[in-house]
Amino acid sequence: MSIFRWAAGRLGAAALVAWVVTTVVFFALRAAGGDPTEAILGGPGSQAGEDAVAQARSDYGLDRPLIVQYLVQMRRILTFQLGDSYARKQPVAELIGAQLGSTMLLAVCALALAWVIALSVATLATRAQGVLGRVVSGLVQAGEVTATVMPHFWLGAVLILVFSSTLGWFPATSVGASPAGLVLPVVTLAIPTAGFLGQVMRDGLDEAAASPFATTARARGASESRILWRHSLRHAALPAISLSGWSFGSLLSGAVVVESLFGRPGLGRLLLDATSTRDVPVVVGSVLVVALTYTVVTTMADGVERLVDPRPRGADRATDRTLRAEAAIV
Amino acid sequence: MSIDETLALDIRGLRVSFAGVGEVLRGVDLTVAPGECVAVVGESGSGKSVLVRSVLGLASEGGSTALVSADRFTVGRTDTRRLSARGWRALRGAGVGLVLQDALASLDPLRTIGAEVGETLALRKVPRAQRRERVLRALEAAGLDSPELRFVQRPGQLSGGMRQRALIASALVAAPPLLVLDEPTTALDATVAARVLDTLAALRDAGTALLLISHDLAAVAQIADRVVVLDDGAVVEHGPIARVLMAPEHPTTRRLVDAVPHGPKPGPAPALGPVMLSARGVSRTFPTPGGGHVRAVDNVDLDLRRGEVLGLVGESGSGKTTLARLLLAADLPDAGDITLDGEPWSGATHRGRLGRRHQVQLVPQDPLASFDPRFTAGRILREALARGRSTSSPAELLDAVRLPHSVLGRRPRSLSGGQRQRLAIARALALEPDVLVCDEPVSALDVTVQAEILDLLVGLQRSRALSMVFVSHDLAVVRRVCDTVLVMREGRVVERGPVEEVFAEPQHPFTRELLAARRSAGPALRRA
Amino acid sequence: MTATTTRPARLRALGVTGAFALVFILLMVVAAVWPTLFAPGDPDAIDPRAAFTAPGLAHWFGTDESGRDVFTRVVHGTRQSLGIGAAATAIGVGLALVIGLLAGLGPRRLDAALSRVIEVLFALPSLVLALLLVAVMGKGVTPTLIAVGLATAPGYARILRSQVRSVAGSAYVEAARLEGQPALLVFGRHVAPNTLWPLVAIATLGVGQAIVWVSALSFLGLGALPPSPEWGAMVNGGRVYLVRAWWLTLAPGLAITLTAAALTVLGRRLGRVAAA
Repeated sequence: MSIFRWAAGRLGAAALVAWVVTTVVFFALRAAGGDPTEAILGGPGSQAGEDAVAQARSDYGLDRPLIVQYLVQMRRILTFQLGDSYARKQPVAELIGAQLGSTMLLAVCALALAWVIALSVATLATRAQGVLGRVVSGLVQAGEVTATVMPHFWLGAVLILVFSSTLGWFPATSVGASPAGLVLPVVTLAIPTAGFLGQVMRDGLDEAAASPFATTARARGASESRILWRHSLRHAALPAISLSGWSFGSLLSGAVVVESLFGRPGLGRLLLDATSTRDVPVVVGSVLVVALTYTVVTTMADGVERLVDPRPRGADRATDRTLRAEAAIV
Repeated sequence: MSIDETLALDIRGLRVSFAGVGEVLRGVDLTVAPGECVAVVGESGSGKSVLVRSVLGLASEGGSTALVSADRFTVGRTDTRRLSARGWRALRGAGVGLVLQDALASLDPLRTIGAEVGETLALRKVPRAQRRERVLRALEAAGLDSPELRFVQRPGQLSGGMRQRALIASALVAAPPLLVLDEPTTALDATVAARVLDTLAALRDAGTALLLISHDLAAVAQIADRVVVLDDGAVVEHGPIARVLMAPEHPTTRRLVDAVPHGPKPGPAPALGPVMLSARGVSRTFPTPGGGHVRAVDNVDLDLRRGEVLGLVGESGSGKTTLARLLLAADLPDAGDITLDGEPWSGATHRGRLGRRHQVQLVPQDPLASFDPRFTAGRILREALARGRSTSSPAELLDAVRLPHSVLGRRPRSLSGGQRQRLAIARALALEPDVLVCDEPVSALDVTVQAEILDLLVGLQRSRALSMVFVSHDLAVVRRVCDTVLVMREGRVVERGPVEEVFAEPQHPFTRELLAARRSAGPALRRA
Repeated sequence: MTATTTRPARLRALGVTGAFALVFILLMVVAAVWPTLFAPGDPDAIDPRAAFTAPGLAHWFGTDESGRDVFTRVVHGTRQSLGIGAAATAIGVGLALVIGLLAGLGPRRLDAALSRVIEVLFALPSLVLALLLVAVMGKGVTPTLIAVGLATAPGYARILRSQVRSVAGSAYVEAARLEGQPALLVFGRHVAPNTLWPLVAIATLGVGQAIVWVSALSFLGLGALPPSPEWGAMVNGGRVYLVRAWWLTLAPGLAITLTAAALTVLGRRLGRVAAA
C-alpha cells in the first residue's frame, strides 16, 4: 500500500468519526427532547422570559426546520467551524484551543512515563529466575491487575494524601506547566496505563523468549540479556505500540477526572463543565478534537510500528495485533 | 578418563531428569567423529528433543530445571561437565551449531538474514566488514543463490527451502566442528529436502561432524553413516545405517524400519464398480494480495470408481488440497462440473447437496482442529451418527477404528495424535459415506503411527468397498495405499495412471524428479 | 457433559487466585442482596457527636462528617455499585451481541459497514463517549448507567465480531457443515456456544470496568449524588475532607479497586476455564 493511500484512509476515518459523532449527537439530542435554548439562557432552570427565548432561538437558528439545522451543522463542521458555546458565548474553537495544550502536555507526559514504568517492570521481572522468578512474577502480575483497574480519582486522592498532605513533596493543585505541579497528575494518569502496557509487554517477552528463534539465538551463544534486548523486546514492543494509540484515548478519558481532581485547566475540565451545563457545541467540539487526536496518535503509533517491524503487512494486521493483544489481556 | 581428541562429540552415560517428570534420558552413549554423520532416530517421547538441547547445554530451556549428569561429555576438546554458563555460551555457536526444524519460526522474523546469520560472529566481536564477508561465504556454503540479496532480506521474504538454508548458514558461520540438526528437512517438499540433504552431505564430506535427529529412518538414510535408535530415553540399537536398515535387531528398530512405507500396495487388485465421483474441466481461481489471480486448480478431469483409491500427489502449492475441497464441495469450482453418483454435485443447489453430504466425507490433516473443543469423543460420534443413515453405535465405530471404548468420555485434546486421527476416521464412517477424501491424513504423525493409520484406512476401504481420494506429498505413502495416481503441479495434472505404471515408467520430468528425490532418500530401502 | 470428570478440572483451571476472586465476588453479591447480614446498621443514621471518628473497633472504616458509619455505607453501597455495573454491562453486551453477530455472520457488505462504525466509535475513549451521552441525556443514575453501557458496546462488538468470524471459519464448523448439518443447527451447536463462553469471561471483566466508569461519573457529579452510598459518590463526598478524614476517600475507593480487580482476575480465569 502506498503512503498516500494509507494517509487518505486515515483522513477518511477521521472524517467518518466527525460525521458519525455530529450526526448521532444532533439527532439524539433532539430525540431526547432537550431544548438547547435552556442551556443558552443560563442552564437548566433558567427564568428567562418568552421574548428572550424566541430571540435566542432565532439567533442560534433553532427556529428553522430540523433538517436545515442538521445541514447547517454539517457545513460548519466541514469548514472547521465548531460554532459558539451556548453557556460562554464564545467560539468553541477558541475555548478548545486555549485548553488543548495543557491536556496534551499532561497526556503525553503520562504516556511517556507509563512506557518507562512498563518497560522497566517487564524487563526486570523477566530477569528473575527459578523460585524467586515465580514469586516476582506473581507479585508483578497482581500489581499490574490492580494498577490497571484502579480508578484515577481514587489513585489521585491517595497520591495527594501521601505526597502532598503528608509528605508535602508536591503541590496538590497545579496550574500551567510548573513541573512540580505536573508530577502528581502525570503519575495518577500513568499508573493504570503502565499496568496495562506492562501486561502486554510481559506477555510478549515471555512468548518471544519461548520461541524457536530464541532457542536458535541461544545456540549461537547469546546470553539471556542479549536475547532480551536484541530479539524479544522488539517483538514485545509491537503490540504495546499498537495499543498506545488506544491508551492515549483512555488517557484523555482519565484527564477529565484528573483535571477535575487537581483543579487543572484543560480540555477535560472544559468537556466536564460543558456536559454539566449541556453546552452541546462545546461537548461536540471537544469530542471531535479527542477523536481527531486519537486518529493522529494511532497514525503515529502505526508509523513507529512500521519502523520497528519493517515486514510488508497485510490489510489489517495492526487491527489483528491489537485484537490479539486485547484478547491476551482479557 | 582422558579426552579422545579425535571425536567431535563424545557422550557416555548421559542422564537427564526433570523435577516432577523423572528421568528422560537414561544413560545415553553417543559419539560423532569429524566428517561423520550420525543419526538419532526415535518416536515422539523417546527423548530426542531433550538430547538435542542437552548437547548444547540448553536442557533447562523450557523453564523447569534439568539435572544433567554423564560419565563423559565432551564437545571437541571441551569437557562440558565442568563448564560454567559463560563457558557454555562460548562453546555454543563456535564449538557446536544448531539447526532446528521450522525455519520460519527459528529465525527472528524482524531481523535481516545478515544480522541473524552474523549473530554468532557479532557475539565474538568479529569486525563488521569481516563479519559480512564470512556471512556471505556461509550463505553460499549453505547453497543459497545471490547471497548479497539474501543478506538484506528477512526470513518472511524467502521460500521454505531458502529459509532452511539460511538457518544452516547461521549454524555454520563460525565453522563449528559439530552441527546438530533437529528434523532439518521434515517441513520441506521432497525435492527441496533432497537438495538440502545434498548440501549437508557436502558439509560432512568437508569434515564437519553432523548429529542428525529424526523420527523417520528413510529421511536420514541418504546421508547418515551410523544410526542410533532411541526408545524411552535409552539407546536400544546402534550401528552402520545399512546394517540397521537391512537387519534390525531390536523390536523398536524393527518397528521403525517396517513402518517406513515402501513397495507396492499389498493384496489383490480391487474390483472396480461404476464411477462415483467425476470432475470435468474443473478450475478454481483465487485472488492474490497483489491484486492478481492464481489458478490453484486448472482444468482438471478425473474419475473415481467405486472401490478405487485415487492418489493426488504434488508439492505444496500444487493445488491438491484445493482439488480435494472441490471434490468435497467444501468449495465450488469457477469452471467445470463435478458429479456424484451420476448426479450434479458442484452444480446442485445448496439444499440439494445438504441431503447428500454424508456420501462424501473428509479425513483431515489436523483432526484436532476439526473437533468442537467442547465436545467429548462420544458426542462427536453421536452427532455424526445423527446425520447419516448408519444404525451402528459409537462403541461399534470405535471398534472399527480400533480405539478403546474408554475414549468416549474424553475430549480429543487429551488423546494422542494417532488416536485423534482414528476418531476422525470413525466420525467419517459414522455417516456411511461412499467416498472418503483423506487430506494428508498421516503427514503430522510419527512413522510408526503413520503405518498403523494407513493399514487401518486400507483395511476399511476394502471391507466397506469405499472409494477414496488420498492427498499426499509422499510418493511412498501413495504407492502403499493407492490404485491410481494423479501427479499435480501448479494446478494442473501432469501425469496420471495406475500407480505401479507411473512408478515404473514416469513420463513427465516432474514425476521423475519427485521419484528421484524419494529414491535418493532411502537407497537401502530400494530393496523392497 | 460428563460432570464427574470435567467439574474438578474446571475448578482446578480457576486456580488459587481465581478461587479467591470468586469467593470475594460471591461475598459482594451476598452484600448486595442482603446487606444487613454484614452491616446491620442504618447507612443513613446520623450521629453528629461521632463525626469524623477514625477507623477503630467501633467503626471499622470510621465515620463521616455526619457521623454515619462508613463501613455500613460501603456495604449498603454494594447493591447500587455492583448493580449499576452489571446493568451497564448488560446494555453494552446486549447491543454488541446484535451488532457483532450481524457483522460476523452477515453478508460482506454489512460486515464492512458495521465494522467501520464499530471502529469509529472505538476511536472515542469510553469515558468521553459516556460524557457525550450524558450531555445528551442529562445527569442522573439512569443516564450514566445507559451512557456507560452504550459507551462499552463498541469494544464488545469488536471482540465478538472477530470471535464469531474465527469460530465460523474454524475447521470444526466446516466439519459439521460437511457432515450435512443445516446452517441453523451448526449455529446453535457450534458457533453460538463457542462464541458466548469467551464473552462471559469478557463480560465479567467488563462489569469491573463499568463499575469504575460509573463511579467516575458519580465522582464527577454526573451520576449518583451524595448522600447516596454509591461508592463513587462517597469518594466525591469525602474528597473535601481528604486531609481531615482520609478514610472517607480510602474505604469506598478500595472497595471499587478490589471489586474491579477481583472481577478482572475472575474474568481471565473464566476465559481459561472456557477453553479447558
